[in-house]
Amino acid sequence: MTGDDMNGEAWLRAVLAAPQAAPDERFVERVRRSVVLEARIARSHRSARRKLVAEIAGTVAVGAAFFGLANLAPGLSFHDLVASSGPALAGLAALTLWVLVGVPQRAPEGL
Amino acid sequence: MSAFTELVRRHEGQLRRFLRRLSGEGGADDLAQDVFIKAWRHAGSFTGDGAYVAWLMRIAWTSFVSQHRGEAARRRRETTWAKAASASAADPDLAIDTTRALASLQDRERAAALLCFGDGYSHGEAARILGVPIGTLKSIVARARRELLEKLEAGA
Repeated sequence: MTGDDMNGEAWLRAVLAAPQAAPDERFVERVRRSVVLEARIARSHRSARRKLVAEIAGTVAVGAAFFGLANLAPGLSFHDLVASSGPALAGLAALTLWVLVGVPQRAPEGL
Repeated sequence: MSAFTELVRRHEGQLRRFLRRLSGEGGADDLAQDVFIKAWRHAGSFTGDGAYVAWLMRIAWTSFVSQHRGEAARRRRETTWAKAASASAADPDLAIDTTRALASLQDRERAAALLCFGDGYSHGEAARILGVPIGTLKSIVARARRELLEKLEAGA
């Protein structure tokens, strides 16, 4: 690198040097609001996913319970089974649904 | 959140200036905002290997490239640059000449010149930001330097 090259490079550095400026608070606030919004959207997506998983699990649990009960006593018809233990089964199913679906979602956290 | 806001406050000037001079169009601030949101979303992937601002600049460069990918976008940008250059042609101010000289460079050359000459990044840092081997970066910088000096001297 020659002396002229060095001068040219130093000149380019001077010409292209970024000027020092105070932060643009309006832009900072704009980014802050966007990030807060982004965080809210991410939380609501997470919450919706958790709720969906809980509802699917509840539905599967109830379906499995009915299937299991229907196959417990091959000699009994489903009507006999429900007639003999219907209230208990209904209560069990309702309890299962309440536990799985009605589990309170975690409250959103503040940033 | 307040820590992240402080990072935005500290680095927004450099990032926005880089994107404005890189793209030569008004969408630079929107892109800068996207860059900060990406940085917040992927904060866990910052390993501390290098400065935070260099990591931000890397995101800015990849965002710029993906936003401007495609022939139509390139043509639009060239038109914008041409307008900027012709609008500034009569202005004797050196900064305007610089704008015109920068406009004549390719995106990667412009980015390399801005990083190495404008923001004082080393060749190694600039190579990491632009995602190229250091040898390639040196060639790009040398080419950008030669073209910038030619254009600026011709305009002087």
